[in-house]
Amino acid sequence: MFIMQSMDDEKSHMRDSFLSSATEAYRKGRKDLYASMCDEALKLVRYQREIEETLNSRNQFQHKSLHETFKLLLERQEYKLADKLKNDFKMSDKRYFWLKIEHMAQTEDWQELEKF
Amino acid sequence: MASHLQGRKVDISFIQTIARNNLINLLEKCPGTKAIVWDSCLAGPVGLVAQYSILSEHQVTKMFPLRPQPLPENDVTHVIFIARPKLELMDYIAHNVHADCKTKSGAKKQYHLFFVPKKSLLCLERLKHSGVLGNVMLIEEFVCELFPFDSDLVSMEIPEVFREYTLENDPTYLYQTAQAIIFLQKLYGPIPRVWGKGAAAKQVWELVVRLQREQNNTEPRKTNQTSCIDKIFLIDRSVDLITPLATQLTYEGLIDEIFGINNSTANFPIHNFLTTEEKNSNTLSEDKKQIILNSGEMLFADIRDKNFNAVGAYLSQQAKAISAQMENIQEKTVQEMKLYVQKLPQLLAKKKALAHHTAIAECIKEVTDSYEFLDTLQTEQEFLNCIDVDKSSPYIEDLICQQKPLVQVLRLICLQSLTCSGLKPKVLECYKKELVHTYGLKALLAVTKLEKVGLLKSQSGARQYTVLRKTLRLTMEDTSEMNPTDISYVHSVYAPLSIRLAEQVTKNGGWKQLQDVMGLLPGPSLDESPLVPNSLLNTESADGTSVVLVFFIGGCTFAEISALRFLSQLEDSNVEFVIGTTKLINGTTFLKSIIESY
Repeated sequence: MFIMQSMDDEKSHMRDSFLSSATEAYRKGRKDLYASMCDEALKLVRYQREIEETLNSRNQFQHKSLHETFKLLLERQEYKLADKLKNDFKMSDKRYFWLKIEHMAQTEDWQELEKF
Repeated sequence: MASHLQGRKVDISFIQTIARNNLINLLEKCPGTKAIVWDSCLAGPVGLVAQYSILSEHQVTKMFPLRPQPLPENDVTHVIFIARPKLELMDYIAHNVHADCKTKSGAKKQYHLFFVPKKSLLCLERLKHSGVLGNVMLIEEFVCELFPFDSDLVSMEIPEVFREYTLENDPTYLYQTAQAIIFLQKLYGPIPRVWGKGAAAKQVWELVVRLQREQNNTEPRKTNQTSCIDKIFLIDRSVDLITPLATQLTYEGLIDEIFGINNSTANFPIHNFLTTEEKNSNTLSEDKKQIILNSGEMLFADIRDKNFNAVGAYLSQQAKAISAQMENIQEKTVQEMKLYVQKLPQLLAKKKALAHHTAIAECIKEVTDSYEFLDTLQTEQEFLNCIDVDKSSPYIEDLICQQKPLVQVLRLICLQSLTCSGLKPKVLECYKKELVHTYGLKALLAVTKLEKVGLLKSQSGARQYTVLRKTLRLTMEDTSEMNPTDISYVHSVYAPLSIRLAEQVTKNGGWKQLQDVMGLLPGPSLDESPLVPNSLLNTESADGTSVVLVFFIGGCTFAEISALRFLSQLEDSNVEFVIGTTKLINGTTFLKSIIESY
């Protein structure tokens, strides 16, 4: 539990180590679910950094949840990356569909929506 | 002036007078012009005791909120800080004093600090540490435990009580609650009968007894006040966590859910209040309309406790009555005319009030007619009726996927968890995963806190809620919203558990018939009759009604208050309720007070 707080401070360069120590602590406390969540968060942070580099956009993805990251990718029309994100993080289908539909409605891509 | 506080057996305006005199005495200790710097969570409540006009009579020329930034330029002789004893506020004060000393006028100024309601050593240490204790001339206590809200309602206005006690195991505020109850007993005489439920309730009462014994030892009892309050019922919020989570459907409750009521005032979007001409002129700078809501206004007193579905009909009926009165002037004799003119200001005031409330009702209707509101309500009612509580609710999943406000989602999940006495591990896991996917890890922190408090848990053995629902008749199918016969009208289906307990206790005079039920609720129960000298006993008043103080430790909702008022208005009832609480809450503010970290 202590690490949750330190992690919450979100000092960006320290995040990785905080997250991994949080994972450790949870594993020791036999909270596997939480441990795997922290692990996933860590993975996400790294992934976001990667995307930022490939898309050449600094600090747009950091501090965002999976949901928000996905949305951002859709907004920038990086559909392939978005689909990859879905598979990598085992996103639920429901969320995937909601996000897709929402995005299409926003961009008024009615034809695409029709096909969906 | 304080007409809305009087008119009951227990005259709440005493509290207002005492608090006001305390404040004025303190202010008079500093002759000259003054500026008051308010702790932002106190400025509102203190306004209930002393309005600005009273303060300015005592040479208060300026008021500022207490913030980390330095004070604006001012030229008063005294700067008075009024604050709760909290450490971070001390830092603000120190910062403010430092900055203000350096300004041109700073040298001549005096600084004072009033704590509400108690000094704290820790805070003084903190001030010393930052080197401003020497600059602060007077350090006083402005004793004001309870703020008067209405003729039957007082509140301590401390939102942290529940959180501190359950999450951080810190009973400081219970001590303050006990002080508040002692204060009430001093004012209205000793209370000869006590019931309570929940760990906090028991602890508070033990404190009350002990503190009173200590006080009696030091100063001989000199109060010969007869008891105005016959019974007290202490209830710990953790006994009934369900009620605050269910959407309130009374008029006042809905105003609170949608717009938020703070210190009896609420802000509404202004566009509904303007006539068409005003709308076109576009000269108004404000975009909020502030309205004071208390029983001083007859119309509001009539409709505040009604189910919202009954409010519309009542308003239109009133409107017709007024226009009828105003129209047939022609056929009146001079005598009648005279009467009419006398009544005119009253009528006009009523008409204005009516216009206001119609506008408010329209604002509410916009929300209550939305699909989102109706769907949420339906889901809530399914949970309360134990329908589909075992499964992961598709509606909640949808809400998460649409990234609705976190608190709104958690409120529903907590309700589900409570009604099925713990979620199935798989369901809980699934929710957690989805939450983290949408809101990031901060959701996990929130969930952890809720689990610690008991609002969220995974299933274990007994199903308390299903039993309670049957024995206490918590859900009623056919209650009329227009002419309610049972308290379940405040949530349309669900009768607040806390109020059911209060109902049973006052009716049967104790727990006896509830023994099986009480075992299912957390915490010990309390049933005592402290010794009170016979001379002080209120020999059952002529009409045989007794006054019961219901004190919620950890906050209560407007719907609960409405339900209590409804109970005392029932034909066969012979009780009058006075309600005390540590804070007025609704589901959203309640969860926020737990989740938010600071």
